[in-house]
Amino acid sequence: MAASTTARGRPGRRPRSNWRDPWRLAGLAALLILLIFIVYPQLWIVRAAFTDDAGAFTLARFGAFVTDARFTEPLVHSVVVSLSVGAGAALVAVPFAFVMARYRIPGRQGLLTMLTMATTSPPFLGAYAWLLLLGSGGIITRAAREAGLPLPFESILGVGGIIWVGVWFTFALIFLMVYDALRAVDPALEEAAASVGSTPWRTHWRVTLPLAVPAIATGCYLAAMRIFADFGTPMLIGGGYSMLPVVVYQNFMSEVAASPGVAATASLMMVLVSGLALVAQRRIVARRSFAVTGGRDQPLRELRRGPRALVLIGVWTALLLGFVPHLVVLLTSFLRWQSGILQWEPTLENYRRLFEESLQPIVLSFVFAGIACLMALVMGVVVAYIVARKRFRVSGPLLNNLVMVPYILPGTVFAIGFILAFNHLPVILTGTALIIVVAYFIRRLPYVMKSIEAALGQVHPSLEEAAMSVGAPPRRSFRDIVVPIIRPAVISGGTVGFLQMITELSATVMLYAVPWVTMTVVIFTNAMQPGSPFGVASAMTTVLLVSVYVPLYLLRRRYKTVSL
Amino acid sequence: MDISIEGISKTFGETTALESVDLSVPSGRLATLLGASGCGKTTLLRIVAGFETADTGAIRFGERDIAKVPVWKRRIGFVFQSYALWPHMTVAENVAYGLRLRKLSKEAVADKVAAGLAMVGLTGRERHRPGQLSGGQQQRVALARALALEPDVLLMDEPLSNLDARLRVEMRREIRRIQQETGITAVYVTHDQDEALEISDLVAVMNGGRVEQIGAPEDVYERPGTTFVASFVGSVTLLRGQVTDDGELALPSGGKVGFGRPLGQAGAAVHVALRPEDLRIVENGQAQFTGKVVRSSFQGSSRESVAELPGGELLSFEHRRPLPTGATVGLAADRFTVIGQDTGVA
Repeated sequence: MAASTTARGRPGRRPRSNWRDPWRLAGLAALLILLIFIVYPQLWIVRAAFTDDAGAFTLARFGAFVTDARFTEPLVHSVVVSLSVGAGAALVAVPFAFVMARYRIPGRQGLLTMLTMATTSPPFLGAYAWLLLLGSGGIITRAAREAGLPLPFESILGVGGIIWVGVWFTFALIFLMVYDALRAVDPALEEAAASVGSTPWRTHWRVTLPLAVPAIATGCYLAAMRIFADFGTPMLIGGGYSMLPVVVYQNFMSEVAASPGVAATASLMMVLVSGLALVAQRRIVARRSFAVTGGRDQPLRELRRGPRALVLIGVWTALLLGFVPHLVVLLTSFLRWQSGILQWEPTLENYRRLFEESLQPIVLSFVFAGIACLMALVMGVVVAYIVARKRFRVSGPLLNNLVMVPYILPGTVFAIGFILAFNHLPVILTGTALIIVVAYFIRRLPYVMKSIEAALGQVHPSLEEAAMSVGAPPRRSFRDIVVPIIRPAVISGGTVGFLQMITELSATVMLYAVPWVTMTVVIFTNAMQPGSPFGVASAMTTVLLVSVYVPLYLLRRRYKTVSL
Repeated sequence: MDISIEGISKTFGETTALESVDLSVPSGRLATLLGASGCGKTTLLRIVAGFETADTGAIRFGERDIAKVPVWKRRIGFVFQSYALWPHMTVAENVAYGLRLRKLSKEAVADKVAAGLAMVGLTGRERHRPGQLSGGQQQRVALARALALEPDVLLMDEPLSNLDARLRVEMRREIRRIQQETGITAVYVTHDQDEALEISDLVAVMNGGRVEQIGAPEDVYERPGTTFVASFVGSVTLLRGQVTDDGELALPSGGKVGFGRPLGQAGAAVHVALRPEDLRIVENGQAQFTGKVVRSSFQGSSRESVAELPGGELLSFEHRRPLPTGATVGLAADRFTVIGQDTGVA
């Protein structure tokens, strides 16, 4: 009977920090990198925004931003376009996702693969291809003019064009999120509604759809932010309709009227808007996130003949419109162009010229994205492991929050920060290839890190403890147990990161310096100049598409599903 | 190898998980840490394993002080509640992993893996992945893995709580058999009193970060030292009262019960613990308690009923023949325990 008693309330000794833990050192190194490449450039943007041209402190720029139409207009434009694209894409995607999630549709696996493909297409591809079709000198516009057919619009240039391109560029994103959410709804929830007398129609509106709201909100947020931060689309087909990324770009890059201060102020506005959007999205999701996983799979119901035909037509039309850009580019890359005008003559000339004259951008794109991807993977593993496993009191939360900052930084803003911060001592990177590599690495780090963190969440800590209990020191158990288990997630996170890097334009177009030219820059500069060799640009875009979709296809075949 | 734990304390932030715990497990014995969730039993086990460090106190395996020895050098075997089998390795690879780290020859590893799997009855499953096995089989693999290195001590953290009831009974007998065959010193954490009583040489009942009682299963069941132990281990009625001048129990409701011998010092506040099986239905004249049956449940081999005493106290007792609700019964206690230490009830 040894009921031991001692005085209660002895102060608990805090566990001593173990500085010999190699993770602590790795964490500090990671923190240093994040401070240099995320915080430091942003501080320079803030500094520029609050300094007038003479170098004195000023608040005038922000005053002007609220009162001066040169700034308020693009702000309003950007917000309106983003909201319209989010709403429009949801209008296409949500019914589409619902039908796919609930009914037996022929060719569903193929459809899902294509939709996944659609989410990784290069951001400027849509604008470029629709411009080829419906620009003022576009294939369709010209053909219609020659045939004397009236078109309801002059060309695709303008706000309508931006929204049109944006919707087809982003609807697949919303689709995949909502589709997954609807598939995860436990059918028992709907059966429970039926059992208390709810009609299927009512159940759909009162049970099923509300359960999908977080996914719809997240999808709309992602879609809206993609177009909000996109530089290529408004630049290519804006046709004078000013939006924030273009304003930032022009104010920063213009050789005659450059004003870094104005660009910096506009940049801060962009960060502010995307930060607010994130907060709004988090709120909607937090208030309504229900755990609906578990239970049975949703059974797929049969559709009657009539509705099925309608659904099939709708689904394939949406998909076709989503893939118009890809088809256009593929087709025109095999046709001859003469001084900006398409000749309907098949040729391999474009590819011959591409490989003779522009092999370097292809190689550079792969090298930049490859190196940056490896860096993001290594750092992603370190940060994810520390965040998921180590209870570091200071560096843990700091890393976790800092690493996500690039998530709300549009590429344009990111680039400006880099240029302002790294064109002078102590760190000079402008004009080098390294600046592009580092920019890719840091920008995609949050995505890579999150996918690894999710995979680590699947590795129960007891798996590592079990290894230690049979004699494996921590380093050994990390190598033998953790790494093999998270490998699929690392590979798929890395591949997706690589795809996004190789298609990056917004930041690259501001950071590159000859001779460090990437594929995306070549395509963009070509598309911006009337009469330039469109055939070669199309051929290069085709090469870019191949380098995106082949890895994606391999990945999907190996791991069945890929989350983006 | 015996385990000795002296004065172990541990706090997490503001909460005290363990408060000066002492325990010693003689070589070759199986000790159970029994208690409700949050009582500190798992924390204590993880400190013995080396997954957590104690704020104060000492732990020895035999003569060796292991406070500064990291997990991977402690020579322990650990069985987890979640099995913790490595999903990317086969059954044989799971068992072989620790042996390979020791740089044993291929043949020696193969022999030991085969012997280990034979011991837990899984010969023939070498090439399966953990995901292809049932929960019970997975836990057998985990046991074989933990024992493959012939560790000094075997530590088990609620190893059966993810299994269904029948399998639990089968597996705990299996664990006990293997522990006795190998003669290993073992510490076993559970919240299931049946499990603890059946397999242990020694049961340590824990409550609120302390060990309330250590003893053989029979001691803990038959002679509980505190009200918590009495109520946690087995079913029990605790009658609270004061010892009268003539050594009887005065209930707060006013009644008085004699137990045939003085319960202790007059005036002392005590609890009398009565197990249902120690109460017997008797003729009115011999009854210590008379009450009305308020409910009765059939449990197969016997019935357990509850009688309400005139003062409102509820008394559980075991019997064979059916009793109608509302009937008046007289009861006498063959055995009882007087408990002076009130530590609450489970």
